[in-house]
Amino acid sequence: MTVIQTYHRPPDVATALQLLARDELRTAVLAGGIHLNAHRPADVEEVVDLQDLGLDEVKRQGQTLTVGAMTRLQVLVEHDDVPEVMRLCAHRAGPNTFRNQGTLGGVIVGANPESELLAALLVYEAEVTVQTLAGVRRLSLSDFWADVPVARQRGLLTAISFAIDGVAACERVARTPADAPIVAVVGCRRSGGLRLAFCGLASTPVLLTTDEVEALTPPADFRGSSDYRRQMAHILSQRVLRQLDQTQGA
Amino acid sequence: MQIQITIDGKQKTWSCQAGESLMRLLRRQGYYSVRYGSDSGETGAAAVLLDGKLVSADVLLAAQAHGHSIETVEGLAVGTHLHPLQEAFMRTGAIQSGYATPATILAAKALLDRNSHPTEAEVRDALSGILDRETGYVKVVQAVLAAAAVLRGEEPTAIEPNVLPPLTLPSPEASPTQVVGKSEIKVDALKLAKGNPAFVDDFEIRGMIYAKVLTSPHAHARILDIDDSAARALPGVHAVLHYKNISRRRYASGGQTYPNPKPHDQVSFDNKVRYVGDRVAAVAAESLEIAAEAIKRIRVAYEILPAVFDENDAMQEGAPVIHDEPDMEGAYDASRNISHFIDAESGDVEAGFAQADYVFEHRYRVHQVQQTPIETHICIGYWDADERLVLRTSTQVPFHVRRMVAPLLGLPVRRIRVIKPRIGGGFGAKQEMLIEDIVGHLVLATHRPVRLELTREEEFMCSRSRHPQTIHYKTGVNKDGTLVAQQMTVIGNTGAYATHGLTVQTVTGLRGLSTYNCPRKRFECYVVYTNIPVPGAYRGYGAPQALFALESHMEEIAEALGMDVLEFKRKNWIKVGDPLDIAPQLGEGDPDLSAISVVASSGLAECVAQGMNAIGWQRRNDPIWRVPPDRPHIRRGIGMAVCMHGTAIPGLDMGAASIKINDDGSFNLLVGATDLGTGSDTVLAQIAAEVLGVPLEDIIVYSSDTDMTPFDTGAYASSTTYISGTAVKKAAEQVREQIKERVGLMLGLDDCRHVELRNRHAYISDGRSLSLAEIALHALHQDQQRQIMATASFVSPESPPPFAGQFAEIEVDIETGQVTVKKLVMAVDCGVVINPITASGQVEGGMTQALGYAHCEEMVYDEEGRLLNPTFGPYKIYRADEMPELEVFLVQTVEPTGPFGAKAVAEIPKDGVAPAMASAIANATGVRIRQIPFTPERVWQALQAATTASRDIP
Repeated sequence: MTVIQTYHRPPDVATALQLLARDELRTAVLAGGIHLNAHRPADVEEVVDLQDLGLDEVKRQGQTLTVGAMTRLQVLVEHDDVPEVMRLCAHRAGPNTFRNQGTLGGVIVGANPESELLAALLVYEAEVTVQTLAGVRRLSLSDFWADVPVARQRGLLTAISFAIDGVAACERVARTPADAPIVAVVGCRRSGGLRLAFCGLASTPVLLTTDEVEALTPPADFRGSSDYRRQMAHILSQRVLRQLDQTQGA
Repeated sequence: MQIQITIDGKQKTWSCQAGESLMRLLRRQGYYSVRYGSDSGETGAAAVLLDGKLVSADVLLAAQAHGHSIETVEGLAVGTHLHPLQEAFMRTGAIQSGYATPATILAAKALLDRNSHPTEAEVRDALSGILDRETGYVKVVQAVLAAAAVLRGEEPTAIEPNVLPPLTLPSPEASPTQVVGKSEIKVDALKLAKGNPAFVDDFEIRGMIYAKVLTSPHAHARILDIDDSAARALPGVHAVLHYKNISRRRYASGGQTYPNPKPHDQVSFDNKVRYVGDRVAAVAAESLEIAAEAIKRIRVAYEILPAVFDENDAMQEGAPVIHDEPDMEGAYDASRNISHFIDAESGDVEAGFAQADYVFEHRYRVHQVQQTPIETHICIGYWDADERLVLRTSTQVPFHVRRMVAPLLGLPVRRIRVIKPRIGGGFGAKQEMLIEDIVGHLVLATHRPVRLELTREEEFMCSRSRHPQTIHYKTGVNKDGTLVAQQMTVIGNTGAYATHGLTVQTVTGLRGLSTYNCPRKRFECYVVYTNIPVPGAYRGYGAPQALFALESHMEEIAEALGMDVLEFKRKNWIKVGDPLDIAPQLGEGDPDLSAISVVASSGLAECVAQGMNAIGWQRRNDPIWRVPPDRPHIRRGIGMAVCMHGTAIPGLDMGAASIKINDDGSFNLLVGATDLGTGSDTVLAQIAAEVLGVPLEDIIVYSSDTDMTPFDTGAYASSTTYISGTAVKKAAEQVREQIKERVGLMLGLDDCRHVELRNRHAYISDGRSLSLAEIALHALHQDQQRQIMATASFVSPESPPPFAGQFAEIEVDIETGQVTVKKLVMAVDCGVVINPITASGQVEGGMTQALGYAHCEEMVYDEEGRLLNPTFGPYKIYRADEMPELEVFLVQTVEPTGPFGAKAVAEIPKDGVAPAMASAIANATGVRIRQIPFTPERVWQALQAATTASRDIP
């Protein structure tokens, strides 16, 4: 069922990058491993496990937190420096088995459109650090997702930085309390202004203004038609805005 | 490659492949407690502790674990000393099938290792990664909290379910029971708590090869040709089977009593496919990888045909004909895709409509859901030394499988042995001869042991599911609320094959027209072929569909009449002494007999009273509670449903049991009944122990093996406690008589009638006694030697109905349509309760499945008939950390025909949640929704439509 022939566990980022840079072998990055194991892409011949690279540090500098890409989601859930709404969103990323194994870097690369954690990262203005053999780049999340996948393969997402100040709120509609949301909205008001991020409206979570939402035609699935998703985005964003006003008022 | 890990404290160096999952490696190394539930981590059945943290070993490469420490349940017990979690799981009834119990215990251990005082919410969060289809999580949470207390050094708290004293008194001569009625620990609990090898896949046979099935990518297509040469050429491939090399023998796959209802519309491999997932070919190879590769190399030429998925469309003129094969026979009208037409009438319904003050009509739609046992279908077959075919299979119906598979394989029944070990849940999906013929064909073709396990995706697509139906009710009623005539018209969707189509739909009629007294009843039903994956038996078997429609319809009538819903239902519901009048017309009992069965026991009124009290029914009419001032978009509501089910199929379901004594006065109880996690082995052993005057531990239960155990129809139709239980009771009574005779012989008594068995002894009225061990040794070794042993069987002319009241408290977000279920209460009259813990566990687990049916589970297809959500998550079943509060009451009546007064309990919990939620949503919002599940957009659309409609009224 699998064609994975070789497993690598490099001791440092430079070695990992060299392994990933080889043209002749189709090599995949192994972070937590959930996605790769569950989906077993037929074209992966070798895997590079990042667990020994020391990419699981969480460092705070003022109002910015920098989280290693291999940090497990459960660490975010439990970390005092992570904003409360982001902790809640990290908790909603999956059940405890998933949070114990899954990594923040893996979630970012996965770009799941229903990930409230990604929506929270968007409103907290997250930037990702990508290391390549040529050097280090810092990208916004949306630029990272827009980046051509080939370029990303050759580089390594090593860390995520995001703001931790401001007030935030989130709202969702889902079939059951722990289900993935059909639509979710995370909002954050910081000195830089208001940001609203939406899940369930596009191929990734997206930052939008309320006006932009009205003009959108979201992709439909059996849990929510396009019209329903747009209407929910409107209702939930109004709720988030009310909560932000109340929190700030208080 | 080689990896080094510390497992359960021991250093190991193991070889593995770079791409091998940790689950596969651990199972290969004999850690059988790590179990397959899926390949993508969502079931958690393969969870282990990695450096103390719970992770799913199916989504971890073995190589990733190199250098780390792993814990499994195999390492928990020290010698004979169980871990407090294992003890608590056994004691509180947290184990049903036990398939995912090891993972669940590890989840709890990870929590308790770092938190000695967890809250219930913390326990539920810790369990969130392990899906449980069986317990409803209630007893699992209780077990973890109880174990935490023990680990803190506190006394374990006794947990007893809410069991009410019997409403009716047992017969005066009945003495108090010693074993029956007690919350005995399940007889199989220890092995399940320890993760011992007990399931089909936990046994390995030398030389085993692996099977894989090629399934259809098309919903409807003719197979013009199959070229298997490339597959056969692959090294390691032993057989490739399809329509060109397997002879064509027709059958119906439903696990039912002989003769299986017609039409027999399946063959092992056909030259036509009728749904996405239908069988095309099967391969056996040295490894799963090779088998999968071989499947890819089979070239199939399809002629794609138009397909039809909706049952109403499939009956229309010009619809594609799904069974157009020339040898098709026994269908009502195959040219219109109608497998069966059922028309049953009791009284003149049309005359009733003509004379009724009012006639109400409503239409309902129920959808397709899957049983999703955490253990998928699996069968290992081999050719034994006597050149007989042995099938170790996860089935609810071992005897039906043996009889049904024999003609397909060209073997006489005597050359087939079917063994059912522990099963990881079935819920009806395994009341089917589903994969055993494939395994049998491959064993015959290769003479090698063959293993076939369905993946989770295959389980969703290729096993069985619940029938979707369109249901139309028409009821004539007088101004005072008396029912005059009631007609139920159903179009049932049986998918590509009819298997349980006739019988499920028949039960829909039976259950849909039995709860309420009415002098004129009619059931009209078309069972229709479509190109969806095949519905079959699913716990409830047509009743959940019927009761959603019936209870909703009754409430709508009450509302239109301006009557209180409960008053209207109570006025009409069936009571003790009332006839079960539509049953004979629907094949239950003999319609030619003048004596129609009547209800002999009913605790329904008490069930409803208990449920009303527990849910806080009076809040239903409290406007301040219903519209919480601080949450303007929320509406609260409370709803209820009356439930009535059956207990076994009268005149058909037969169970048998054998009991023999051993040297030490213990007994072997051999039953064909198949415990699929319900606890039926325990209940049957309790019945035997009660009659024989021994503690439960003296009864060694073996179930089931067609070579060893007497016949039983199997685990379905809520029959085991009642049917197999009565067979056990009769066998035990015969053994008791033999023991008494032996006592007479040993003590020279003329009259043995007053010998009494209790406390492992036979007591004589003069004060003398003999131990059962002395009696056994005397009988087996000393004088006039004989084996004290008896076999008895039972079939019932009656199907005494259990009753229940189901209550739901919900919140509706009127801006989004999201419904949140806050609490479910069910009070069930299942007769005398043989084991309160297993019985209440059945209700909690059944209610949770019913909640999924009502709220969030659905099989969804694209326009080509491809299942869009064949994984957990998109197919949403409830997790531990999102469950509403559940409360269960066992209201006891004494059923005169049941063993110790018992009736059924297993299926009735499936019946009431959907209508109770519909009732609660109507209470909260004033809007009645006639289609399930109550997903956010459906509810939102209904609310929008109601708002628009009310705006349109001038």
